Amino acid sequence: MAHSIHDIPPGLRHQGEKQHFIIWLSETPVMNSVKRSLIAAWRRHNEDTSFTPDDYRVALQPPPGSDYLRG
Amino acid sequence: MAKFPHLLPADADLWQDYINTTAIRFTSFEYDIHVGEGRDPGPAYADNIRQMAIHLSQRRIDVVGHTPNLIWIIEVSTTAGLTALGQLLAYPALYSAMHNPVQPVLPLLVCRQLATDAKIPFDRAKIPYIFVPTLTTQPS
Repeated sequence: MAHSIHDIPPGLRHQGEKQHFIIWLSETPVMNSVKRSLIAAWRRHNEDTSFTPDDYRVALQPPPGSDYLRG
Repeated sequence: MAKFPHLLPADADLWQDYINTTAIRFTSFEYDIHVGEGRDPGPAYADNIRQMAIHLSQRRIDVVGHTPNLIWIIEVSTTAGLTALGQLLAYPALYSAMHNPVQPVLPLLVCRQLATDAKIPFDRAKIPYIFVPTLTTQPS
């Protein structure tokens, strides 16, 4: 089961909130597999083609002190 | 709004085809059922952040189908492989542990096809699978 757009806070669901969505991901202490699933849900919802490798790098960095979440 | 918002679009079409054709007399369905404990990031985080992280990291059952006498734990995947097998081995136990149902809880895979090397493990594990042909469906 993948995540859906409903797993993302309403204020971050739209294309115009991309940077805030990425910051939210970077600060959310969940495994990167969960973050990737959330990104996929956000991109499906917005039919997004703009996510770059740098966006992924920022989104997937673990919050400070939580390196165990890289998996 | 998608009809089955927690399913991937191709899986939603597959699921619609399945419920249009299945002979199982389901009485109700539940979608995106969270099971398991999730991962608690620990007391370094505020309670609301911890709860969000736990919620986001719980396992999710695609569909729970109810019949008068059985509960079916259903995974929906166009091409199902060993990930689906692992889910269907684990999720009935996690569901039963959380809900303690009276009825037997059984796994079921709904798919278009099995991935390479999946048939033998599914058969060995006695996990039932149903192949659903592509029908004409409405956009989900």
